[in-house]
Amino acid sequence: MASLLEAFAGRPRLHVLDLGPAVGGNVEFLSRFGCKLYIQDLYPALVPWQTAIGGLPTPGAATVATIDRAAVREAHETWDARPPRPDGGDEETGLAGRFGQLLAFPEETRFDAVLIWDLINYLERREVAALARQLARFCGPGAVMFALISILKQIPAEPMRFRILDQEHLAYETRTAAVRPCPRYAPAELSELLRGFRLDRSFLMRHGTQEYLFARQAG
Amino acid sequence: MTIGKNGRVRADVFGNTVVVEGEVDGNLFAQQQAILRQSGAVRGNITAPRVMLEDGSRFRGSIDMESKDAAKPGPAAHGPQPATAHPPTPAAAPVSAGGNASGAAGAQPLHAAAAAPQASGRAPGS
Repeated sequence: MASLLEAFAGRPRLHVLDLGPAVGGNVEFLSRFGCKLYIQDLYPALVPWQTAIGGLPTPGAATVATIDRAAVREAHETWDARPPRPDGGDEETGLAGRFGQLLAFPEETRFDAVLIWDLINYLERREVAALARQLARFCGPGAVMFALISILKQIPAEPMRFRILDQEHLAYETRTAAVRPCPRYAPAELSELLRGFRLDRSFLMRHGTQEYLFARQAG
Repeated sequence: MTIGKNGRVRADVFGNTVVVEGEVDGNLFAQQQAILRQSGAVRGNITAPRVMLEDGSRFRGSIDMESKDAAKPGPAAHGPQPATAHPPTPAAAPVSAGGNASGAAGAQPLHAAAAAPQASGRAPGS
């Protein structure tokens, strides 16, 4: 958090996009920076769509004992091999359209910071790339993206709720006892997926979470 | 102005203190404070000097805590507006300024995350 808040320093009238659930404590904390805070809890909107396209198992219902990894892999391979859509669209178009719907802001919108929290742990690679493309449209050069990436084999089946306690501490709350496999994205892979953003710094915390701060590149 | 638990409003809401316990699909403009209770859900923008969201409340939109443009009739130009816009309703007289403003009532157990050391250095390469 400290590195994120350093990026806030000296910036007047910050525009911050929070892609997690609305947390009162975070609103109160960020109000000290004179932010205009946009809250768009992305995950609940993505889950039905992920399930419909044969994505990862429905969160909340998955446990380590019941995930059929072969079936998940087959679903992805089947999806990758499916013929083009009759309407001429393709998966990339579908993904871009979906994130375009979920993150629809006026064109002149520019965010100074995006709080992704642990959402990336729940997205497939194609989704991470599509999300980055959509966010890049609304982030000016120097805008920062804050993400928490797990390096554990298993993660809670749903994203956690994070509360900013102070400049150096976050509290997290798991919302389900179920678990699911974690994609465990490596830094190099994230840099490739999050095009338009460069890795500014990362910090390995306890509990198997790595804190990332990405910065929007110019151009 | 209080939107009760069973209230369903599809309009902009204006008041001195705006308390939402039900559902609002529209923008909130409060001169003093906007409070979203645990049972409340708002889809729209909030403009108020102080905003309080109780844990469990649902919100989607932007929160602008500059005071100068709060509670003005009509959607004020605070910058980007959401894709959906609603025609403003006439300013309503504050009905109730009650409500507990003592802070978020988060009853969920939280586990303190590990404290990060002062220096956030660069992580070793992958």
